[in-house]
Formats: sequence, structure tokens, C-alpha cells
Amino acid sequence: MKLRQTDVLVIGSGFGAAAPALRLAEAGLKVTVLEKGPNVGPGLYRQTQDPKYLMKYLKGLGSDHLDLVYAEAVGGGSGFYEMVSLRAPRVAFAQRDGNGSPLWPDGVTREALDPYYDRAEAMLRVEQIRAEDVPRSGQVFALMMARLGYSCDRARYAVRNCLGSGFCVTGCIYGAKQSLHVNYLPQAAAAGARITPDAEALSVRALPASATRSVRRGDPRAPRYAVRCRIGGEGGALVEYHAGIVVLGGGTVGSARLLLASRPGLRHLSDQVGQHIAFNGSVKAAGILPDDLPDGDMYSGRSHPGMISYEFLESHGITISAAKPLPVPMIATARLRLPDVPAATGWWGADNVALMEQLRHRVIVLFTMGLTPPVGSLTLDSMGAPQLAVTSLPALSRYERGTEAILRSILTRNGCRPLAVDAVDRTGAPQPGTAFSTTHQTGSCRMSDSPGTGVVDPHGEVHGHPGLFVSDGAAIPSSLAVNTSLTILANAERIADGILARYGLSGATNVVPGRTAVRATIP
Amino acid sequence: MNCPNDPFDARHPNRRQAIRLLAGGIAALAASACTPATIILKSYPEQYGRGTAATRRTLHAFTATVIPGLTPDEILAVDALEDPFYPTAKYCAFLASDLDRRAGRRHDRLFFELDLPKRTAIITKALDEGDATTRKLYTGAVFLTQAAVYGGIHDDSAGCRLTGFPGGNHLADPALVSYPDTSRFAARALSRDGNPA
Repeated sequence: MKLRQTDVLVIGSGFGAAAPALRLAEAGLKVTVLEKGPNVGPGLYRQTQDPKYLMKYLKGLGSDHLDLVYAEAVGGGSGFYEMVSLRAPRVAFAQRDGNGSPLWPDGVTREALDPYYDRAEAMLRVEQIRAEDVPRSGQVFALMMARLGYSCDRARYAVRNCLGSGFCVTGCIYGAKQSLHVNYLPQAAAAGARITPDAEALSVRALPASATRSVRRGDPRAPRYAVRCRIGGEGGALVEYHAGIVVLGGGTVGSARLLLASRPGLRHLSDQVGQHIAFNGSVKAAGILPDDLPDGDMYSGRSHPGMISYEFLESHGITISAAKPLPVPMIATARLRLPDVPAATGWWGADNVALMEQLRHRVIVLFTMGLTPPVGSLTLDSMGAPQLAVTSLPALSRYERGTEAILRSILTRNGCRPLAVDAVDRTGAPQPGTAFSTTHQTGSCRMSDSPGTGVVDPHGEVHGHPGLFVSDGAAIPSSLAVNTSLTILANAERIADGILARYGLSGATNVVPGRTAVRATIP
Repeated sequence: MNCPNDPFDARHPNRRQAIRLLAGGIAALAASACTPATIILKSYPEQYGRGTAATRRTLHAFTATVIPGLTPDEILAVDALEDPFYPTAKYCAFLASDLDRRAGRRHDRLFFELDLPKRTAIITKALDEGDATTRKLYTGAVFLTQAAVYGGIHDDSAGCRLTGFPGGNHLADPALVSYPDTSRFAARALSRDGNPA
């Protein structure tokens, strides 16, 4: 096995990893970024529904009641998300667990994150969508809310010169999306960071003090950790990196999986690893628009329809948006069915075609994100494969039913004909009972004031393991009720600042927005 | 019949191992058309190999039943069921033979020779009354067919005529993306800049 030295090893290249990679490289440290997934970015994206393409970059982890989808690719989820970039509401930071204890550690608040939100927004060129750019489905949704006297806000996006081709979630072939490929990652590389795709971290172990060049706590270059990796995918070469600082940014699943596999080498690791996964309780409802509402358009304009309602945030802990799913993600998530046809046969055949013919213009899909409690957990089975579980099902079922009732009320009071939305599993079979699917998972290595309640301290450092950090969504302790990417990035910026301060380093902390859109020709 | 061996989940023994493993009892299972045993023993007629004319003809009829209204060319473009990338490819020969077996038993015809209501009834019955593996196989095949057709997965730019999905690499007329009279669609905003408080 080859041995390599680096000052900083960053695991992952998504929202939680890119900021520490950039800031620590700017501070003059030798930074190595390992990304488990393949290289991808503008120029490699396709506007397609081909599962062979999608499954190359997007992975899933499922259980009976919860499905998590995440990206494994250079840039992480930033290449494939809908670009929605919202600050988490204050009410998210005020959540408490069943014992009345705060979910967020002391001092990590919206106000504390706001300067880092500012920085992240500048880097990603986040702006509120103009009214004239809101896609039709979003306009119709806003009209429906307005007719009921409800509020609806124009959302914010990380995009420049969007052409509205509708394939944000398969990667923007025009370079309009301000993914990490056009800001953090190239700037990190320019500052000296080396980014290696197809490189999977297998385990981390603390080096004995005698094996290090220096045991001085304040020296960021003194190797403290050995990280065993496989470079080059399946069958690739085994390499061991020795690093003074290791930053885990592989996401809720990736970081927990790595820490769980590393327990033998990390003696002080909290028993909370893998626990407290939050998932932004997404509930969906759909209906056929009445004649007095104009057409929506499921396939024109950006993937997210532009509008979000905070009307029920304070009262019910949910935000509501419309949705414009592309066909394959929609079919892979739920069966839409006319309510008066049998469940057993209404999801295919002539009845289904009759519905699908209306899907593009006459169907509105509503969905929520909510402040559901962090009751998911991830463990490893005897083969090292991750297993997902959910507790508190009765409470989640009540939340699901209550939220669905709100959505159905919005539909019916607008004259829509509600559709049945039957969740399905990965084989297309119906998933009875409470079932959530999300790309907005957080937690699994949450921040906490003590190792008894979480895995990392408020600065992202693993309790009991100096120099080992978790900077991604795994560290976020709660659901946010809005898309999680901006909060993960802002918190990662905050953690990066903390690392610099911890070691007495001064980074340039350049805030250089990404390049503007590349108006590529259609291939 | 209860068929505990689920070929989607179990490692697949080869033919010899399967026979050794299941010994004499398997013959009885196969004779009664238990899906796992039939698949393991490949105890369906030879003309239903992957890619054979009989298999393709039947699978095309299956596609036309799952999504009525497709043109013959559109049906021909759907080859996902036989694509080795998807798990159904290993079972498409069985699926075709099972569809024809069910059609023969009920109507003394091949599946593709039946009209749409009869084909629909056969798939419905398999989904409703088949053993667990049969239901799983048929469900997966319907699911993949829908994804393939509605998503136009065989060609990035193809889209789907039935649903109006344009596929990739097309840009909509900007005038058709949003309605111009934006004030008509304005709702009261709770935020100053789109961010929640």
C-alpha cells in the first residue's frame, strides 16, 4: 500500500467539503480532496432521463419508511440540485428534542450563520428569481395560494442567465447553474488543492503520538490521522494518506459510514455516530387543475418552479412549493392515479395514459418540506453495508396525514381534482404506510455540546479527536424545512474559519463568485 | 402457491446446482408454474430466449398493453426490458413465456394475438394473483416500461409524444416558459428577499 502525506485531507467534494478545501488551501496548506464518485461537470452533463447516466452519479439508500438520495460525483449534489438556495428559518434553529433539549448546540444560530450565508450566497451568485422568470407551474401555484389569501414568495437560486431548459437535476449543460464546479472547486485547485475523483476513503485511524513528526497540538501539518483509501474505483490501488487535518464532507450517509467503519481506529468516537438523521419530511399531493386556472408546464423553465410559501412555517413547521418532476424521478417516487380508478390497476394501462396525457399542463404537484424530528439512523451490517431505519413512526404518520390534509385542502378549495399519490419502493412496488423520500437528509454526525448527544462539537471537530472534522450535512442537527444546500455550505464556511482560527492560520478568504453562464450551443 | 425462493434476492445457482439443491421437489414446483423454479430451471420453451422473435413480439405486446396508444415505431424503440443494465433482462424470457402461457390457457392464443382488454386482463391477473415473485417481476416490468416510455430513455432528445415531454436538448420559447402578466400571479410575500425569517 502506498503512503502519501498531505497537510489536509478532505473527504468529498460537495457543499460540505468544498469550502474547507478552498479556505485551507488559501491559507497555504497542502490540501488533498478525495471524491468517491467520478468526475462530472459542465461539458459532461447530459439532458437525459437515461437511468444509466443518472445512476452513475446519484445513489440511494432505502428502508421501509425512508429513502435517501444523494450524489457521488465531483461537486457532490451541487451538479444535480435544483439550485434553490435559501437560509434556514430561525424556527429551525429553535427546535428541541423530545426531552426539551435544543437540537442545535449553543451559539449556532441563524444570526451566527448569517455572515457565512452572505459569503456562500456571494460565491454562488444567489439571487431571488425575477417575477418574469417564474415558470408557469410556479405562477399557477402562487395564484392558487393568493386565491386562498395565503402568501407565496419568490425563491432564491444559484444561477446566472438561466435558459430554462428544465434539466437542472441532470446537470446544467449551459453552465448557468452556479455549481461548485464554477467557484469553490476551481478556486481550490488554483490555490493548490489536488482533487482526485474515484477515490474512496475506507477508514480513518488516529496515529499514535510517537508516529507523528510533531505532537504539538497547534501544528496543522503534524500527521495525526491515517486514512486508508482506494483510488481508481473497484479494484483500484490502496493508498494510505497521513494528514494533520482530516475533514469529512461526504454527506449524511458517506461521513457516518466512514466513521462507523473507523471505530476501531478512533477510540473516543461518540456512540451517536449514525443517529439523529433528519429528512425534511417531504409530503406530496397532486391534482388536476380546474378550468378556471391556466395551464402549468411541468417541463419548461427551471426544475424548481420559482415560488415557495412560508405561510404554514410558524404554525405547522412546513414550507410548500409546487414541483416539476421529470418523468423518471416522478415514476421512481410515486404512482399517480385518478382517485376513482382501482389502486391495483389504475397505475398503468389506459387509465394511467389518460392521466399522463394531462400531466404536463393540467396537473399541479405540491410538496412540503417540514421540521420533522431527526429520527433516522444508519448502521453498518456485518458486511459493512449501510442500513437505514426510522423510529417514531406514529408521530411521523400524524405529521404526514396532517400535512397531506393541508395540501389537499389547498387543491380542493381551488377546485382541483385531487389525485392519489401512492409511494413506491425501488422496484416500483407500492410502499404502504408512512414513507418519506428526500435529497435533504442531514444529521448522522450532528453537532452537539457533548459527546453524549452528538458526534462533533459546535466547531465541527469530532469529540475527542482533535484535527478530525465533519463539515457537511451530517453535522447539521435538524430538519430545516427548506433546501439544505446553502445551510450546509454556510456552516462549512464557518467550520473552515474555525479551523483557521484553531491553528492560528490566516486565510485570504477570497469571495470570488463563479464565472457567468457559458451559453453553450446545444450539442 | 407459496414460493419462498426469490430469485431477485437470492444468489442464482447455475442449472446443475439448482437441480442438486432442489432435488425432486423442484419438478413438482415447476410443473405447477411456480415462478422461481421455472426461472431457475429455465423450464419454458426454447423459443423464449432473450432477444428471440417470440420474446420480442410478446414483450412489444406487453409494452403496448401497459401504455396503450403508442405507435409501432415507439414500441420498437422500447428495449429496456431486455437491456442487461436492468434486472428484468434476466427474467424477460420467462416474462414472455409466462404471458403466452397465460394467454394460451385462457384464450388458446398467444399474448400478442389478443386484443387490448384481454391483454390487460392477463397482466392484471398476474399482478393480482401471481405468487410473490411473479407479482414482483410483473410490477418491475410495468415500472420499467413506464419509465422507459414516459422518460424517453432510449434517446436523450426523444421525449414522449403521449405526455408532451420534450426530452433533452430542446429549449422552450422563453415566451412560453412564463406568463407575461406577472401581476395576475402575484401573491402576498412574507419575506423581504425570498429568504424565510
